[in-house]
Amino acid sequence: MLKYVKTLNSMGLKARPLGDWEFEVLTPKERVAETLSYLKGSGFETFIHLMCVDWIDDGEFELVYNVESYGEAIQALVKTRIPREKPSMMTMMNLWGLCQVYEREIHEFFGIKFEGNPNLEQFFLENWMDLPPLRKDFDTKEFSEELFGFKEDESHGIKAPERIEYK
Amino acid sequence: MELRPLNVSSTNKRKRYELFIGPNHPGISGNFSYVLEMEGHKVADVTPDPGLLHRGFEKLMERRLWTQNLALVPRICVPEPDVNEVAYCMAIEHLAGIEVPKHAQYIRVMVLELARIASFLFGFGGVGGTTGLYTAPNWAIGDRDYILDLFEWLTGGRVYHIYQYPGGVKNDIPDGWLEKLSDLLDYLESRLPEYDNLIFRNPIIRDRLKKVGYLSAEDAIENGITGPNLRASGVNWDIRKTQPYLVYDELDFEVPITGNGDSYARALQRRLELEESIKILRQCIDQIPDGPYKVKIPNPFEFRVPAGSYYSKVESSRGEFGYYVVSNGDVKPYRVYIRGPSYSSGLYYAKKAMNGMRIEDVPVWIHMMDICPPDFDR
Repeated sequence: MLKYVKTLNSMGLKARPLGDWEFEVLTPKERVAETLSYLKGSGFETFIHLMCVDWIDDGEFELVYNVESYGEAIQALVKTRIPREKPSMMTMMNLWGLCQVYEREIHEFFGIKFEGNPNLEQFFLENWMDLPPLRKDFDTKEFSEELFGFKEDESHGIKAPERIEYK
Repeated sequence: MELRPLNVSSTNKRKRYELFIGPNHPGISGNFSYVLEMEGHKVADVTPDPGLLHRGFEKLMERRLWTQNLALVPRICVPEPDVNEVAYCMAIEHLAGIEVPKHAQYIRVMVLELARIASFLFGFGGVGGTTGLYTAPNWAIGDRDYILDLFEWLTGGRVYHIYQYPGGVKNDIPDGWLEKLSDLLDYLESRLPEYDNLIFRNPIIRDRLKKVGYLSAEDAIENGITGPNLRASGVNWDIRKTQPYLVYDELDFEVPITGNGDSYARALQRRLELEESIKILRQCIDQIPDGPYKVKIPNPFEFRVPAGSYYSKVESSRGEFGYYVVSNGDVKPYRVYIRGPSYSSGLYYAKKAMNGMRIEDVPVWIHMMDICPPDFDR
């Protein structure tokens, strides 16, 4: 594992081990394809997952590509940050066709546009007009109150227990 | 009069039509649907239609305390809920730097392996259900119930156990439980020859499953297929061996590789792995050390996990089950991502695999790949 960390660091990327079989690489958006194709060429042939974190305070989305090498039994997490305003990213479908479904899911739940992905239609949701639901500024309580018209006390005579704020 | 050749329509016109497999269909494994574009009796195109089961777990988990989520995570997977609890706890423990006592680690391995056997037995039911051999589901689900009885005794719950906790497990093993487990393993082992005769030596099942849905090793690696399906294609990869977690490195077991890559190989792979799980459980009964079953974590209402992110994974009965947990140092998780093992096969690889497949093989393929809709509808 250390040899990959070393090589990636010499490529000008920030890499460090996270555990016995896991290391992370921080790359700028433009160098994701380069990093992933380097890793794929060195044996990281299996694409495990692509996920997204909404860092709303930083105004950024973080994308995490997880690839695994069966030969050497190590896993690499390639992380990149993209701005939250009009987010877009290039597709990695030319490396792994599998990225298609992951990118489609992230487009639906975070609103990130993946350039080059032919099918970014709705996947899990149906007729969704609101904010993408896994974004941090999407308020589930407000949404359900608006959608279902439920008001505590007034119309139903139900008093919901007081919410405990753990802080 | 001459008989017309098999499976050829009497008209030359090939009509295309749409056929729904699921969400309410005996051939599907959950609340999920494949929309098949059919050409005669062959599948021309497939559109997976997920979302019928989506419960927004990942969003819900951001609103609850670290420990409250333990009641939520097992609901993600019905046939094998314990992998969720263990993977989630392992991620928390890694971030918070909690060392789990040996005794608790052995209990975790036993729970995981029992759940694995239960899930494999569920899978035997799938073999019978899709091929019309209805004795198999009756036997397998009946035998699985004995495992659920043991779970009920240990944890209080039959299907969802909510038994793991950051730092260990919630209760110690009750008196007499290990002896009962040993009896159950004897019973399950005595049943294996009967399952072999009923399912795996059955010429009809062999003919139905062989050469259906062939998956080569390269395709399996390329398409993110993990677990028994990967090993059935001939790749020697088991997280319990290659990146051992808990106490798997202290246990002696083998990883069977069938390697033919068809549906029969995938079914047989599960049958062989079941035997290894029994072997692991026997060793756990002999080797389990005395000691505390948990380390205490601080007040759960104030339990803060240090900022950071970690991907923890467990070898489940369907493949790599992973939890990517992000913490910003708060009392609640900042983001949790769940990597279900059949996400890639069910949503992406299905399109390639089912192309040109005959309609009667579609349910067989779904069940032998162990497509579990909760893996993608999280």
